[in-house]
Amino acid sequence: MKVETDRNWYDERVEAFVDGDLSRADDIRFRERLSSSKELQQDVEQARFLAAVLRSSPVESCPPEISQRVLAIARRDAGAEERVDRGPLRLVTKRRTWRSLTIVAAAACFAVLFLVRTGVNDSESFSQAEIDQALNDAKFALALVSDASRDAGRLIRLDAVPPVSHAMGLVLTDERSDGFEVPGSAADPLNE
Amino acid sequence: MVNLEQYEAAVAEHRDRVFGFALHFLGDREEAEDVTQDVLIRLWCNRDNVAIETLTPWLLRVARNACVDQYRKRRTRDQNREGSPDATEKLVSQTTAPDRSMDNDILREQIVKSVNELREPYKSIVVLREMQQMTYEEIGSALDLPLTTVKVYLHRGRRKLRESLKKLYDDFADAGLGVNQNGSIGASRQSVHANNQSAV
Repeated sequence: MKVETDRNWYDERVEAFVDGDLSRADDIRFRERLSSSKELQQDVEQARFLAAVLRSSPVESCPPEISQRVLAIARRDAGAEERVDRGPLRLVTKRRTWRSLTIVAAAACFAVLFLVRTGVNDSESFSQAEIDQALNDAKFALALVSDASRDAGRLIRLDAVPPVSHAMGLVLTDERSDGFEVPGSAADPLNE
Repeated sequence: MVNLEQYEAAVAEHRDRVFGFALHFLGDREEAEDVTQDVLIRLWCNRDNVAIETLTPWLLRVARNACVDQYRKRRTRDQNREGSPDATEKLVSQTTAPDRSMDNDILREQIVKSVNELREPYKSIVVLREMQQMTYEEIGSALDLPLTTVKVYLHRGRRKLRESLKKLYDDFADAGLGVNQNGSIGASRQSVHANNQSAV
């Protein structure tokens, strides 16, 4: 029994000896036995040979189509993420921008109209030239915004853009020489 | 690791290692390709959670788990537990042993087959250490094992291989062939004993 246990002790340490992983005391004891045991010497040689065969295994290269496939998936995924991140945000930004501009332009027009009406009733407040200039400026601003809105409408839903045509109709569609249509008059498109 | 460039660099650096491990573990090229693809895709899906410093152990851990799963699937399909003999033969045919002979080819084939037959975790550790030349620390990190445990398991795994090799050596001896001093097949056993007189 003791011999069997003793043999096992050395047998269990063959690989550690080959790798140089034995403690100093174990290494001395192992070498002492190795010098006199042919069986142990054979075990050590076989262990060395085995390690050499394993370590000489060929380096396997991954087939290129594997990495190509994987990278294609990653690139497609990365591109999709970018479109998702930028797309809706761009639409919302554009929508909000144009909506804001349109609202500002409409507010400016109404302000001008209000002033003009006040001025019509009180001709001493504004000269006709000043009124005409203000109206032309407002019309120009509205036209600019409406053109831009029309173009934006091609990219985004038109119902997202506050209708400008109402204000356009009030100001741009006129039959008077000064280009101003009095709201509530017969020529007012809203009364058609 | 969060962007595509870093991921592409990681794939270029580690794809051969992952594939090599899977091939040596499974012994089947097709299965190894599937596992490699699966592991690299998982890396992309988890890129925000993997640091560059821990990339190698992470990849090997995932590869090993994937190989174990694949191995279990193979078993449930009632395939040969020792691995596909065709794949084993392919692995053997690709080696370029310096003293190539038919008998040593058989020997090499048996060694590869024996690795395939090892139980876990010996198999993973033998493949990572002996075939992938990874350090003990890298193996410990990949398999979440202490350093001393890695060494013990490695030595036990190689001991089991040596035991299966010993049986083969006996078979060769019965066929009139012996084991050279360096362990290869060739000279008769008697000459080995004579040589061993002056060994170490």
